[in-house]
Amino acid sequence: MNRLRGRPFSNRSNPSCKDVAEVLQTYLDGEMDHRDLDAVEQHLQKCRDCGLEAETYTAVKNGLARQRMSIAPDVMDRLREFADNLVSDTEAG
Amino acid sequence: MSEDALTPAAANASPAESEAAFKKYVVPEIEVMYRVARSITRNPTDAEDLVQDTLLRAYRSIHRFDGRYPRAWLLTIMRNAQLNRVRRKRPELMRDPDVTMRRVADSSDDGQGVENQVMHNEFDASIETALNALPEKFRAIVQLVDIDDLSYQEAADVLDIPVGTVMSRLHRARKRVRTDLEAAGVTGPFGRKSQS
Repeated sequence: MNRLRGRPFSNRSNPSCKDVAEVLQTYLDGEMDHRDLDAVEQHLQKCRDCGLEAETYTAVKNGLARQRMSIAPDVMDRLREFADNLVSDTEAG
Repeated sequence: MSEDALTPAAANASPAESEAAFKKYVVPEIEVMYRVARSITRNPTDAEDLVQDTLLRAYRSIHRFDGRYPRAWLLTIMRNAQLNRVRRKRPELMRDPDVTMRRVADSSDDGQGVENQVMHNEFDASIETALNALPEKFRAIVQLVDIDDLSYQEAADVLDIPVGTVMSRLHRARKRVRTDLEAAGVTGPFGRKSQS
């Protein structure tokens, strides 16, 4: 919904490590101000420490995402059937 | 039917328009709704009941929905439905949403057997341990954003807290997870020096 999180940098073309650290999480979540994306990406590529920091939190994020549990097909079938019945009940009067 | 015709709040919606809007905006979100319901109830049976309750409420109010941000709309309905369900069971819990989440999380979960059979590697096992060690208010945010893949705003809608609180709790939670991983000696990018 909102993809413009984070404050603009004081120097948009050349953010400091502190600037990048402040927006790193929102950057990794795809929620930061899109106007600063290129500058952050360039900084992460050329700054080893910030690059490692991003790599670390990306690994954490990916590891957490892998904790997602599968949903049994019969659960989804029942819920879709429930939704279908809501509509068809109305259609029937 | 035109796109405008699927936005029932834009006009006096006919039953056919409401039905079409329900199919367009609500049905595609059922899987996300169930994942979030699992996260906030931590019980598969309760989650299924909660989604059904949410679907029913959404169907009854689809004629008032303006067609914008259907997921946020549905998650708000789900949050209110869950609050009503918890209030009916334990009215004393409603003073503090964090307490509500924590107490709901304490309820038994008999649906973990299948998931527990899945083999994790060392890293993922450590992640799981770190996740379970988080205080509930942090775990809930991580569950919604990192695991259920909700946006900050959507997670804020579910928990009825400001987006800024979502961000701060999420960042603190990830830092705790990272610290736990480092303490567990998990290798990978954690083994190298970096600023923190």
